[in-house]
Amino acid sequence: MTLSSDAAVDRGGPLPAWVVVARQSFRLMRSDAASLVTVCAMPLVLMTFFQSMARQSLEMAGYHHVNGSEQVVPGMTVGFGAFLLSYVAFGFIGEYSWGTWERLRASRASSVAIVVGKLLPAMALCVVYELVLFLLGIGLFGLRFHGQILALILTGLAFPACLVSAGILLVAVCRTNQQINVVGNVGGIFLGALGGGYVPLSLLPSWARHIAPATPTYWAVKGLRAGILPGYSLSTGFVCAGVLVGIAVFFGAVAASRFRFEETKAEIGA
Amino acid sequence: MLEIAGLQKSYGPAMAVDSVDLAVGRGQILGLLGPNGAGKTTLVCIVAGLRKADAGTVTVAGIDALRYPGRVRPLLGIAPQELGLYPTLSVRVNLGFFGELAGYRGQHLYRSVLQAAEAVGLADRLDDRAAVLSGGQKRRLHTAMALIGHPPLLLLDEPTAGADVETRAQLLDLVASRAADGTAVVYSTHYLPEVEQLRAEVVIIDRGRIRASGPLDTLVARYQSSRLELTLSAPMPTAMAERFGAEGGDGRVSIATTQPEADAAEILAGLPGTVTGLSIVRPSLESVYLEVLGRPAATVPQ
Repeated sequence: MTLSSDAAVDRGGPLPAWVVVARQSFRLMRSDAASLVTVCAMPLVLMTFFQSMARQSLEMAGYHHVNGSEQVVPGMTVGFGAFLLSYVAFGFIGEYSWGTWERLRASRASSVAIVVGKLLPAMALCVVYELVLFLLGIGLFGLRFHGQILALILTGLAFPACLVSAGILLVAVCRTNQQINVVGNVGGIFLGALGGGYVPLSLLPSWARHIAPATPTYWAVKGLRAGILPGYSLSTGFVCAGVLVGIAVFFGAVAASRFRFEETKAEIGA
Repeated sequence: MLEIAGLQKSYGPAMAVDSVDLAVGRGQILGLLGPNGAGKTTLVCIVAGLRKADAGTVTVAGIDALRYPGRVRPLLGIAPQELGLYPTLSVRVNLGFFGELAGYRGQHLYRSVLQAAEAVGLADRLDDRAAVLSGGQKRRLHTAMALIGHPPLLLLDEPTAGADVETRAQLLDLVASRAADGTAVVYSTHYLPEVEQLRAEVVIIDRGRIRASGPLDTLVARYQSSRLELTLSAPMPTAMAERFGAEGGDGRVSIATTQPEADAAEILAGLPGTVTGLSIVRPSLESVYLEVLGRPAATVPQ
């Protein structure tokens, strides 16, 4: 039995290719929900153990009527969010491992449609990750907002953009799963720690405090804290979000210059 | 449907495709044969826009495929050599995704998925994850994903590699039926009997160059002659032996001939003794293939 010629002629109007690819990316994420649950569960565990320490740190910094969630929720969200860049990268690398990359490239989906269709769901995933942790932070750890909400929103959108562009950069420069694992995980934990994600910046060694502003996680934690703690101006939010967008653009530009669609990455998945 | 002229592609100093010219019309199957590393996959990938050519032209339905790969891609379905499917997703979703990419939606998509699954015998596995299918079923799903858009040009790169006998027969039937519907098919394979079964036009490629091409029968006739193998109770008369160019002795004689039936009849009528055995050994595509590639020729008795 073959497809009818009627069906071939009248196809009900095609969806844009990027939409088709994005829907497939969502399906693939849903089929791997366990790892997403893990990514959300890990920061929640550490929030529980570190909340008390964070409260003391905030009180020492002059904040009153705080419970520590003001540090651990944004900090852990950013710290473990850094691991999402590996997740973003594997959204592409999976296609190589499954042998579907060339099929995809030979379809009507253009290169741009493939990239957009892969990155938009990844971006949405990162935003949902932040939302889930903040909502759980409110419900489980008593998180309240006393700062600039717009700073929180802007940073909350700019940080995922940064993660997504770092993820595509990882795909562009790495040739194997193993490389992505190493760079993603070691890089993720390094960035998470250095940016003040796991413990407050004031508790880090002085050398780390000096280089922390060179990391996107530093600006993400700072921007999110500006939406939670009092005493920050709205311009802090703009600066933090602006720096994150700048880093995202830089990563994206480098990725665009290095990404080779025809590269087979044959050893990936081996 | 597909025309290739002067196509060249090298990887460093190695020529993967060297001055290749070929054409495939609607409803035609082109059997692309050659040893590993001959350039078959590179050729298929260039047509599909997956590799860039160094020189030459590729035209699909009148469109310059090298200059406008985006316009050509909707016209072709490709099943690469390596299995390409989403193991964690169902057969339905695997087919549906490429159906959507081919432009189907709604009821058309639903019907197309069902029809493609039926065509490869997977209609009862639509809701199973691809990961749990057997090797043969995965191979069939892999091929069905190339067919679902009903593309006018099919590029099948070793579609039966690793497939069992039943799967192979099913896939060959499917390819033949698609060709009968007017689809142009480029069929790369190592299994020569498949090309014979499909009655395909043959292109033998080695080290990037086409070594031989043409219709199967023409190619066989051009490169190899049949042989008459006779077992005789008495020696063949010298005049007859010289006339037919007979070789051998001790009652066993071998004669190369382009008209085995006629020669056999004439020899049988003129022999003084009894013929205790007679067989016509016809050349096969395999013997042509080996001769073209410079390997010792072999023949298959019939």
